[in-house]
Amino acid sequence: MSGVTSRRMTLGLALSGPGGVTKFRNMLASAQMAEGCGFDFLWLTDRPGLDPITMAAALAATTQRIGLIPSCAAPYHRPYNLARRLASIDHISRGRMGWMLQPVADAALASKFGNLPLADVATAHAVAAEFAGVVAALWDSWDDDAFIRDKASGLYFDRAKFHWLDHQGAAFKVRGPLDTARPPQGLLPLLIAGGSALAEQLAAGQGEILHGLPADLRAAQGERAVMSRRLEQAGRAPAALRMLPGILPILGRTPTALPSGPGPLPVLGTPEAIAGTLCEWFDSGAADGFIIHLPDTADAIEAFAAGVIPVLQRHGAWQPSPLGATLRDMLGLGHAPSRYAEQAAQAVA
Amino acid sequence: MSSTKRQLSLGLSIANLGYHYAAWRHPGVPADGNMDFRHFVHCAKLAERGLFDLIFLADSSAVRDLDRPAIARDMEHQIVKHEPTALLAALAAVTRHVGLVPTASATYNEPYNLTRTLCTLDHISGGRAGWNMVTGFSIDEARNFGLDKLHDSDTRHARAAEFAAVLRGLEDGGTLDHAGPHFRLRGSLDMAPGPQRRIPIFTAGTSDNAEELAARSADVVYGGQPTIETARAYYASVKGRLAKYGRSPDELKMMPGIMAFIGRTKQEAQDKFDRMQELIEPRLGLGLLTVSSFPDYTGYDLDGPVPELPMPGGRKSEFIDIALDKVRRENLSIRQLYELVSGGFWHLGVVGTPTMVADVMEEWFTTGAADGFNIQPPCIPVDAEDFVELVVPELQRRGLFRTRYEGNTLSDHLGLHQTQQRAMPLPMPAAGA
Repeated sequence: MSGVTSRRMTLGLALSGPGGVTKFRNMLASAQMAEGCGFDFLWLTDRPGLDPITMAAALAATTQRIGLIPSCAAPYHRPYNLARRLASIDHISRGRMGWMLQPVADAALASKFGNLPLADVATAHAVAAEFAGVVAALWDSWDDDAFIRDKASGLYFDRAKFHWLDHQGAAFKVRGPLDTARPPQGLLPLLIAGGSALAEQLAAGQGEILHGLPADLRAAQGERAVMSRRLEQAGRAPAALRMLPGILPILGRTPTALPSGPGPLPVLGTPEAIAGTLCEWFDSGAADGFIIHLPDTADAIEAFAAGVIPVLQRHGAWQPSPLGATLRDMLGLGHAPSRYAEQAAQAVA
Repeated sequence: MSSTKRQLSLGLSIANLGYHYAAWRHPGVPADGNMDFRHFVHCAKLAERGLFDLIFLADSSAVRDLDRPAIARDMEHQIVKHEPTALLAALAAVTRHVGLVPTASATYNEPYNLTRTLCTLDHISGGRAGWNMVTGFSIDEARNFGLDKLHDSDTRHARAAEFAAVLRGLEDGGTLDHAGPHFRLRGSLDMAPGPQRRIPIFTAGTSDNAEELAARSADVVYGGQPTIETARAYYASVKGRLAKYGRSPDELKMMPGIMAFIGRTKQEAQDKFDRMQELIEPRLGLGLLTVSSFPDYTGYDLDGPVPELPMPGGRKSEFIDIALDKVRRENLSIRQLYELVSGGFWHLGVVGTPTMVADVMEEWFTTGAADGFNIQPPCIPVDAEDFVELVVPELQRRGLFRTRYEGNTLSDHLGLHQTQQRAMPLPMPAAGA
C-alpha cells in the first residue's frame, strides 16, 4: 500500500479445539468475530473435519477485510489444481487469500493416501519447494493486462501476454498456462511453519510468512539473524519474509500447569502485560507481528482482542487495516509484479 | 415430494459467459464476468428465482488448444475461469435453495481430498452439493499433470468407477478399508456426514465405457443429443444398463443440455440468433471448424460452396454428420457452415417463442428422451433471465415444473432421496460388478 511510512504489526489468528471443525457456522462466527476485532488474517489450520480450502472460499464470500490462509498438505495436492483453487479464492475475496504449505502431512493422513508414495523429510521439503515454485509461476501465466476484451474488434486477449510454464523438475512436470487470470495480489503470501532448519530454508526461498516458535526474545532475535542470512543467500530482501512468532496468550493469573513442549510460546498475565511483551518483541525488531493461538470460540477471540488489541493500538504498533487492503498490504508487502514484467523491465534497463 | 405428477428437473449451466462462442460480445454480457464473483452471485440468485434444481459448472483443468494458431482462442471467452469447487463454496454462502454441482476430474484428483471437499460443500450449503464426475479427454489437461499422453479410456473409466465407490464409502461417515487397483485408503473422513449423506453424482458421455460408468455410479446424466430420436436411443441405452447394477430406471435422471434463443415472437428469437451469428468473425469461425474436427477450409472462398475434403479424424460427433448432410442438402457456403457450427447446437437447440421451447421440452420429457434439462443460455445472464421469465412460467402452467421449492437438498430437488439409500458395491479388479 502506498502511504504507509511506519512499521505496522501484523496480527494473525490460529484456532484450535477438541473434536475438529464440524460445523461451518461455528467457523463463520469465529471468522467474523476475528474480523470485527481487527485480526489481519485467520490461519485455517488442517484440523480434522471440514476442508480448510473449501471453508476459505465460503468465508471469502461472507467476510470483507480479513485475510484467509488455509493449510495445504503438499504430498496430497497437485500444483495445477491448488494454484487455480487458491487464485480463484483470491479473486472472490479481492486479494485476501494466502496459503500455508505443509511439506510433511500429519501421520494420520498417510493411511488415506496409501496409493501415493511417502517421501522422507528432506525429500518432502525439496518437493514442497518445487511445489511452491510451480504454483507461484502458474499464477504469472497471464499478464495483468493480457485481457483486452474488446467487444468491437472481437479480440479477447493478447497472445503475446500469456506464458507457457513448461516446468520439468524432480517431482513435477507442468506445461501451463493456468486457466485462471492472475490473482489480484499477483503472488499469494505463503506461510511456512518453522521449527526446523529445513522449514526455515523453505521459508527463506519461497515464503512470505514464517510462523516461528522461539522460546524467548533472545531466541526470536537469533532466529531473525539466521533468517536474514538465509534470505540473503536466497537472493531476497530481509523484508520479503515477515517473522510472525506463535503466541499462546493466557489471560489472568498464572495457571498451575503451562503447556510444555514445542508449540506457540505461552505468554501470561493481564492484557496490558501481554500487550507489553508483544510490543517489546515488535519494537526490538525480532518480530513483524504475531500469530495468536486461541481456542476456537468467538468468546475467546473477543476476550483476547478486547483486552490486548487496544493497548497495541495505543502503543502505536498496530492499527486497523483499511477496507480494501489485500493480505499482502496487511503484511506490508504490496502488489507483486509478474516475473515476466520484471524480466522485461530488466531487459529494457 | 408432495406432488404425484412427474416433474422436470432443471439445471442452469453457468460456465464461462454463455454457450455461444461470441457471447462475451453481446451488450448485455459483462465481458470480464468469468472472473467476477458478482456476476456469478447474480447467476446463482437468478437460478433460485427460477426455482432451478441446480447450477452446474462445466470444467477442464487447462486452457485448451492455445498451441494451435489456426484456432482463434484469442477471440473466445472460454479461456480463464474460476475453479468450480471454490466458486460454488462461495456461492453456497450467499444462496439458500439451489443445488451446486462442480465438475472435478477423477483422473487428476485423489478421492479422499475430493470427497472431503464435496462433503464440506454439502455442510456449508445445508445439503446442496453434487459432483460432476469427468475422466478428462483433453491432452492439454494431461500435460498440466505430468503426462505426455492421455491414459486410455478403459483405465480412466475404471479409475473413475473406483473413485466413485470410495466416495460412497467415505461420505456417510463410515470407516473404509479399501485396496483397489488405483486407490488404497484406510480410515474415515473424520467428519459428520453431510446433510444429504449421499452426494448426487453427475456424469456424461456416449462411449460404452461412459454409459457403463453412468449406470454403475451416477445419479444424473448430462446428455448431449441434438435430435429427439438419438436422445431417446441414448436414454434407453443408459437406463437399460441399470438393472445389471441392481438399480431401477428412476434411480438415474437423464438431463440433456438445451440451448434456446427465446423471443416473444418467433421473429424476435430469430433476430436474436442472427445477431449472435453475425458476431462470429471469419478467423474465429474457421478455427472452430478445425477444433471441431472438420477439414481445414482456410484459403477457400468463404461464400463459395463447401469443398469435399477428407475428414481429419479426431472428435466424433453425430453433429458433424448432421452438419455436413445439411451442407450438401442445402448447398451451404463455408461461412454458413461455420455459423452453423459456432451456433453451438452440439446439443439440442431451439430458436423460438416460450411456447415453442416448452413444446420441445415437453415432448422430450413425455416420450422417453429426458427427465429434465440442463439449460445452456447462449449469453449469460441475459438469456438465462429470458428463460426464467418466459419459459419457466410456461412450464409451470403446464404442471411440468415446481412452483416453489418443496425440499431442502439437491437430492430432494432431483427426487433422489427416497430411492438411493443402498450402498454401492465396490468395483474389484476381478469382478465385473
